[in-house]
Amino acid sequence: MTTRADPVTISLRPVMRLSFRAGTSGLIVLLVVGALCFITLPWSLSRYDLQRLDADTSLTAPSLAEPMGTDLLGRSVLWRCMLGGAISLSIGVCAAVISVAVGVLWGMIAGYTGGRTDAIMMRVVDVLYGLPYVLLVVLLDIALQPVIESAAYRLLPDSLAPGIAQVATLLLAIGGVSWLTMARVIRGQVLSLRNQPFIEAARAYGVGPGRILRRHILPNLVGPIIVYATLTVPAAILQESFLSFLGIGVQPPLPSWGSLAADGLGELHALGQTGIDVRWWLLAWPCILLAMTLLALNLLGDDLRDRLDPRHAR
Amino acid sequence: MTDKPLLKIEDLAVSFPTSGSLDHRVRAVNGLNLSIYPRQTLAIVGESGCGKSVSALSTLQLIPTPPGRYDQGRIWWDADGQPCDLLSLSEKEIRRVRGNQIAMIFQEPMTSLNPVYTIGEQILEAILIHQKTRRAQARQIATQALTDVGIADPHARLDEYPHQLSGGMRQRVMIAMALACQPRLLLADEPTTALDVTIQAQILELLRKLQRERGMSVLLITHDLGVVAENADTVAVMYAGRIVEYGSVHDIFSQPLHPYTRGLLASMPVLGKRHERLTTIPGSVPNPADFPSGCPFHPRCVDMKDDPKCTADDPPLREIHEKHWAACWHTPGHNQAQTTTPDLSYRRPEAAPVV
Repeated sequence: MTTRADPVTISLRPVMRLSFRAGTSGLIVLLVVGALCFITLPWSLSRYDLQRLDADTSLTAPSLAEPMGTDLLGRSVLWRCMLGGAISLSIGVCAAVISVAVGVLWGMIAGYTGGRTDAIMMRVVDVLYGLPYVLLVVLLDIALQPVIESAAYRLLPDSLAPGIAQVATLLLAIGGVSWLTMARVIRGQVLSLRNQPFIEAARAYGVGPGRILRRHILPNLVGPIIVYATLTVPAAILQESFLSFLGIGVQPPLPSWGSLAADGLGELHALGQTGIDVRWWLLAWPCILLAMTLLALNLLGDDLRDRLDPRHAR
Repeated sequence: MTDKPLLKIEDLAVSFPTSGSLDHRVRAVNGLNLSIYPRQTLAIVGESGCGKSVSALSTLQLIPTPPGRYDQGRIWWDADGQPCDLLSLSEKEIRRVRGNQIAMIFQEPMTSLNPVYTIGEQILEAILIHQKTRRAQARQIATQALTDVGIADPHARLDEYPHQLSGGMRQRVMIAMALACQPRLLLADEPTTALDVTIQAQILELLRKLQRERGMSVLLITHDLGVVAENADTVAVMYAGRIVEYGSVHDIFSQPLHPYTRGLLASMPVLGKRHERLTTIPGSVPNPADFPSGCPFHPRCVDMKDDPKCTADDPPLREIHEKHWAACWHTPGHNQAQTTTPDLSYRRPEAAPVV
């Protein structure tokens, strides 16, 4: 293979091209937030179930000693946000992974096989779609809880087991529901892709069905998969906080960004000694973290989609 | 050496369900007979929806079944002297024929290449599926294939994506891909329809050259009679899923027998002749779900003159003159002629175009 000297016509593969873009900054934000949340787990975990009520440190505004302030029970909002981040992020990411894995496989098989198989597979999706979302999550939650809890007690120290089991059940339940949209989107894409002339051409030069799905259809699905995956992560984080609010999700004292924000909203205003106190830090920090993460995810998703599509070469 | 057909389609019928009802099926191709000899170019001519493409796709079992169905017929392929029915092969067996023995190129070069892979990856895939070679060697074959179809700087082109090439280049790449495994038959489904005229001429010239060099047969599907006149040895004129006229390219152009063929020839614009309007065949192709009784062409036919026979009975394809078949009650000599299976081994000498 000779390399050509003409610099204008050298085409690098778009995936390898490096440039500083919005997506890159999104990735950096995600990595930093993620790393902070997960690396500090040992410390944040050791503090989360402080039961004592400390009137001295209750509801102090951000200061040098407590950079994010403290909550009603005198717990550091910084540590609670770190722990909440770890929980929210793992629920978001795992739910997205589950939804991508199940949804893409389901949608691809249904769309490519067509006929009766497609009809049956998509009716299953329709039925699950038809059930109220909360009911489905509750059912999955109840079904999964004993299995996961017994596994967690066997594998983990007793102090951590109930918390981890709770989070694992929740993320499985959310992931188990959110693949439905993915399956529908992917099936639709496959239906239009499989009638594309290049698929027919591939069949005409002897490519088998498995290879067509893997090599010719899947790479063309990367765009929608990434877009829906990056939409699923924030959706799952929001659903988790909604479920926590209903009392099905993460239970106190375990925090998540959603439940921290909900608590903060409840305690935002109170009549103090000198008029109305505004405890803005209780609401602001989890919201800022949540918003930053979601924005970073969307930027990253957009950028990934462009980079993986050779037609967007710049 | 005896002259045996390379491909022989016998009494092929392919049907599809009409939308809405599963029981009611329409025949897209109905009782098709034709044969292609080694080094021969057979052109199938006809309007859109007359079953040209379905015939070609059936050869490689590329009709999706369901909804499509092969109702009857056999497609004999000369596999090293052994006749083999392509329709009876399993999916796995036919895959070894596809691209390897029989290759196909399509109408839309713009969309026939996968947009997310480079040209090289796609040609390599076609090669590696059928040949046990190393990647480096396959890459050499691919480079050679691109050189053969007249692409300059083939090394660099291998690493380019389809969207970086023009329509003509992409059709060249498709041809390179189809020919990389040295197939014995090339199915060309309107290979030049989507290209502009100068590129059309180049691509057809290229196909002729490659066909001569490799002794390959070509099934050329087109609705462009100019392309037929320049390239074909034998011609099958199709209407409503069946062949209405079959003969050598000279016979078809110099003495067309079927009123439909005459209509097609009359509607060709002639350079230098002043027309108020182009001649057309009145009416349009009948909907396959609702074919007229008798001869399917009778509602549009200028020869019919209210003959009850035309509306009642479907005329069989008969050998009117030696090696020239037509299916029309009004063709002189049709009532005395024999109903025979069309089979014509004619190849034109390497000479100037007929028209």
